Amino acid sequence: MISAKLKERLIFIGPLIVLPGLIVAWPVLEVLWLSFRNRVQIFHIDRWVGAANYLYLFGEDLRFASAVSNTLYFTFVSVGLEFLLGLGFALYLRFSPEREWVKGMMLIPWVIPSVVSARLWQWMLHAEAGIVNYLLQSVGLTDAPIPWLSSPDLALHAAIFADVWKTTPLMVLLLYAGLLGIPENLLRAARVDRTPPFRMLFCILIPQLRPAIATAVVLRLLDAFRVFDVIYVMTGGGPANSTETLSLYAYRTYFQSLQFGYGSSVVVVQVMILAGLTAVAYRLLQGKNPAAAGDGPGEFHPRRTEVKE
Amino acid sequence: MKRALNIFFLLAMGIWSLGPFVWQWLTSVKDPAAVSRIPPLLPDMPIWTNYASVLQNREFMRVIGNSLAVSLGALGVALIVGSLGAFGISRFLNRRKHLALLTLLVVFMIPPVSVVTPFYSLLVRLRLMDTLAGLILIDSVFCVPLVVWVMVQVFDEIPDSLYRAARVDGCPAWTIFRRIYLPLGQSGLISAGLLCLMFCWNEFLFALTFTSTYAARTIPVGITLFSGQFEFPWGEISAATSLVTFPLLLIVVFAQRYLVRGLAGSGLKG
Repeated sequence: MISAKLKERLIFIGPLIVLPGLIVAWPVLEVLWLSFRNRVQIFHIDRWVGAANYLYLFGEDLRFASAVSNTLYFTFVSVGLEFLLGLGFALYLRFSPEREWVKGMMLIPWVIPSVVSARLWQWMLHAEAGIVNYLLQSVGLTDAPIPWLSSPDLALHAAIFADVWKTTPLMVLLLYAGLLGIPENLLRAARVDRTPPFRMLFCILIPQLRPAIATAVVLRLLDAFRVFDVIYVMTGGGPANSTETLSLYAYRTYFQSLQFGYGSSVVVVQVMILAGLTAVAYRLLQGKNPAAAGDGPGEFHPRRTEVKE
Repeated sequence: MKRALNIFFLLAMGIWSLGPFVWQWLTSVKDPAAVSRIPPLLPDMPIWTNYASVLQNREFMRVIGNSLAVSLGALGVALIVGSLGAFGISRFLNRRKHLALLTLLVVFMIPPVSVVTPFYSLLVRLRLMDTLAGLILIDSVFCVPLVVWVMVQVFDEIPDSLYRAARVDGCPAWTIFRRIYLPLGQSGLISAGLLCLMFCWNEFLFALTFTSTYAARTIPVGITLFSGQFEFPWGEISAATSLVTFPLLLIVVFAQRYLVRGLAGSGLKG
C-alpha cells in the first residue's frame, strides 16, 4: 500500500516523472545504445559495431571535424559579440531615464521565430536585390555586390550576424536584471567619490555583475552551440559545407543518409563537448572570488532579483 | 550634448531592432514583378497583391491554425504539469530541490537534434506522427521545465507559515495548492505561459521532422517550405512573415513586463 503522505506527494511530483522524466530518459538511453550500432533502416542493416562509429568519427571523418570547428567558431564569435553589445545596451537601459517602450522595442528581435529572422536577413543580404549591398554600394564602401551567402568565407559570418541580431536582447535582459540587483548605496558611494566612468565599469559594475554575466553567457553558449534553425534556413549548410554545424551535420546524417547509428554517435559527442564547454565556461566566469557570494552563485538556486517596474 | 547623444542612441537602437521589419514590410507591398529591383527603395504605391495571394493560400491559413493549436495545447499541458510539479518541488523536496531543478534545466538545454530520432520512433509507436497531438506532447516536454523554474521561485516566496497554518487546520495539500498557491502565483503563471508560447511558436526542428503534410505543419515550417516554381517568391514570403510577426510585435509591446520578469526575475538563472 502506498502511504497517504506519499500519495499526496505523488499527485504533484508524479506528472513530472512521466512528462519530462520518462519521455526524456528513454530517448537518451536509446541514443547512447544506438551510437554503438550500425543502423540503416532502408537497407535493413542493424548490428552492433562496438566503438567503430566513434573511431571513424575521430579518425577519418573530416566533415565532422569541420562541423566541430564551424560550431565552435559560430558559438564563440556570436556569444562574444552578443555579450559586448548586450552589456552596452544593458548599461544604457540602467542609467538612462527609463522608458518602458525602449525596453519593448529592444526585445522585438528576440520574440520573432528564428526562422523568420533567418529569412529576413537572407533577403536583406541577397547579393543583387539585398538592401545591405545597395546601401554599401551607394555609400561607396564597395564597388561590386558582395556575395554574402554564396561565398564560403562570408556565409558563416552572415549567419552569425543574423544570430547576434536575434539573440542580443536576451543577453541585455539578463545583464540588465543583474545591474538592477547591484545595491544603490554602492553606486551612490562611487558617485560621491567621483569615480571616473571607466573605473566605475571595470572596478564596480563588472565585478558585481559577475554572477549575472556567468549565467547569461553560459545560457547563450548552450543555445548557440546547438544552432540549427538559422543555418538550415539561411544557407542550408552550404556553400560547400562551409556553414555546416554539428546539429546540421547530425540532422543530415539522420535524415539524408539515414544512418541512425552513426548520427547517434555524432550527437553523443556533441552533447559531451557541450557539457565540457559549459563546465569550463562556468568555472572561468564564476571565478573563485567568493566576495560576490551571499546567496551562493555556485548553487543552482533561483535567485530573487528585484526587477523595477 | 547629453540629450543629443541619447537621441542618437535611441535612433540607432530603433533602426537596429525595427529596420529589418520595415524593409520586410516595404518588400511585401512592392509590385511582385519589381521586387528584386533596387532602387527604388520605396514603392510608389503600396500594392497588396502579395497579401491577397498569401491570405488565399489555404495551406498558409492551415499552418497558422496549427501553430495556434500546438502552442495553446502545449501551454495547457505545461501549465498544469509544471505548476503541480513546482508546488511539489517547492514544498516537499527539501534537500533534493536543487537536484530536481538542475535535472529539469538539463532537459531544457538538450540540443533538440540529439533526441530527435528517439522521439521520432516514440511518435511512430504512439501513432502520433504528423499530428498536432504529437507536436503538443514533444513541445510540452520542453515547456514543463520552463514553467517549473519560474513557478518554484514564485512559490518559494510564499511564506511557509501560511502553508503550515493551513495544514494544521486540516487542509489537504491539494486544496492549499488550488486555493492559496495558484491565486498568489498568477502573475508568475502569466510570465511562464508567455515564455512557453514563445517557445512553441518558434520551435522548428521537431515541427519540421515530425510532420509530412500540412495536417500538422507549423508557421516556421510553413515559412521555410514557402517556395515558388522558379525562384523564391520574396514578395509573398515577406507578406507572410509580416503577417505572422505583427501580432508578436504587439504582444512584446504590451506584455514586455511579464516577459522581463519571467526571464530575469528567476527562470533561467543558474
